[in-house]
Amino acid sequence: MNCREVSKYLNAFADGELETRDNLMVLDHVKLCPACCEKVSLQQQLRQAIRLSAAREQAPAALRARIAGALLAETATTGGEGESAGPPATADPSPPAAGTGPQRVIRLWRYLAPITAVAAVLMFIILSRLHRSGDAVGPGTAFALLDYTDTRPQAIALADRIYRVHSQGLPAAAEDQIPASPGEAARYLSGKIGSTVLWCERLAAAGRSISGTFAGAGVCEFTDDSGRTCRGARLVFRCPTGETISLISVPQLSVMRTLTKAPHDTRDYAILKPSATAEQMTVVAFNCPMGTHFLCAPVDPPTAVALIEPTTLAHATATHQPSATLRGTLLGMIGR
Amino acid sequence: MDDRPQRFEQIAMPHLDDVYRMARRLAGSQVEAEDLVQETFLRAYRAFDGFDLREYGARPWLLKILHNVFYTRAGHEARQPTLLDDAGFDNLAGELDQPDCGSLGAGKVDWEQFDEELKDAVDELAAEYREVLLLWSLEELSYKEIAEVCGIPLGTVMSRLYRARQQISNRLAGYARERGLHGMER
Repeated sequence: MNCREVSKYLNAFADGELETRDNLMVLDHVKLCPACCEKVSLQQQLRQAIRLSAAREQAPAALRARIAGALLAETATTGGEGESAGPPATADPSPPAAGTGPQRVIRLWRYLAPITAVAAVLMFIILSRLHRSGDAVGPGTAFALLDYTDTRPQAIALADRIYRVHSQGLPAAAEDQIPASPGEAARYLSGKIGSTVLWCERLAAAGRSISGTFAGAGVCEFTDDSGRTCRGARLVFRCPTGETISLISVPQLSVMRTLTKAPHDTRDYAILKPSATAEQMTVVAFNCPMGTHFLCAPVDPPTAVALIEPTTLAHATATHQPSATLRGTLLGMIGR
Repeated sequence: MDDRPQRFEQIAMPHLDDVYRMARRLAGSQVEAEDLVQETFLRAYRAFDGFDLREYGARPWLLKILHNVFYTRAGHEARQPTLLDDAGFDNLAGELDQPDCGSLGAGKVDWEQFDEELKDAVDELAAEYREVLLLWSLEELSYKEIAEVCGIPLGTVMSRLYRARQQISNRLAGYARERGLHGMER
């Protein structure tokens, strides 16, 4: 074969795509032809260069978490039943599921069943707190889109368990992550979160269990900037409107800092008023294009109180334009 | 107990970075890319019980779903119409006989000089060319796998790949000439 004859096969040869016989024929020519040999080399270099140009790109941790949340919700919704028919490539082009989460979720789908009960209790606590607070947080409209009516007894024990984990979840190694003073905390969070209001909630009040349109949950492990991991819960709820609400419960403020780096998670934050009790969790409710999310973290009472700021949700919603339904829900939570 | 979540995590999730990289280069923005990837994995999860790993490797399977999601979202048909110049590979024979004067030519190239230009060159390819090129280079799929992912004949894969490489080579050669780069040993 001469150069002209072999040119048709050079790219496929460079890519290792030729059949044995053709490959040998081209090889015989390339070995003796420096020009064709260099063309082959160039194609291989080009392939390598394109590959290397994108090799540094990795899926953002927030995306991993978002996908994990969506799959988790899918699992809960379908009860573990997947599509069994049809080739995957022609899978139903349904819209993407909503959901988001922390930056780095290592495992999310474990222990689905027990955490389901925890979710019910946590949501009940939040709901009941809002009702008790009356004027402080609005006329009980916080989760008006959700309907919880369950009475599973195991939920109490599980809620207690997660509460204890969280209340003890500030190891010495993580203390440096907690702001040293209320002022520092406020500056820290205002810089990270922007327009925020925080709501502290007592988990110790768990005494009844309810559930409703709960869509799924899992125990998850998060890793913060320093490589520390902690365990939390990711709770997914589905509104009748189709919106997804997630509650992420983690025990370290440092994890919150990590979460705020997620591009979709830093935009809107709704802030609810805290209680001044000793045992409490700070819940940051924030809105993003994929839904409304709640993040729980233990903060000492002075810090929590210091974090109370005038609600600026209107600004946040105006800036990022969540759906009217979602905006109404959030406004209800802060009594607007 | 249904072990689909665990199996999916073991088999599909390790390819998240691969799918993301591909989506990132296909989509116009990071937000769009992330949405593509999320929908891809959601569809894959729904169809996972029907997935045969032995018949179809997990990565090509996921990339095929990404392909369909991308073209569905872009308003294209999942099986795109043949490009006007999308001749089969055999029809390229005459073109291949033409002198390759516009290309980079042969030799050793200092690719670091072309890093950004190379990215731009890839991004500016027609989507159909870009996808094939990326599946070939980034994902290192075989021609046959690319054909299956894109739902096009093998000859079309080869012709698109040829044209994509040619366009990139021409652009990089022009870039080198303009800047007097000497990274190429002619």
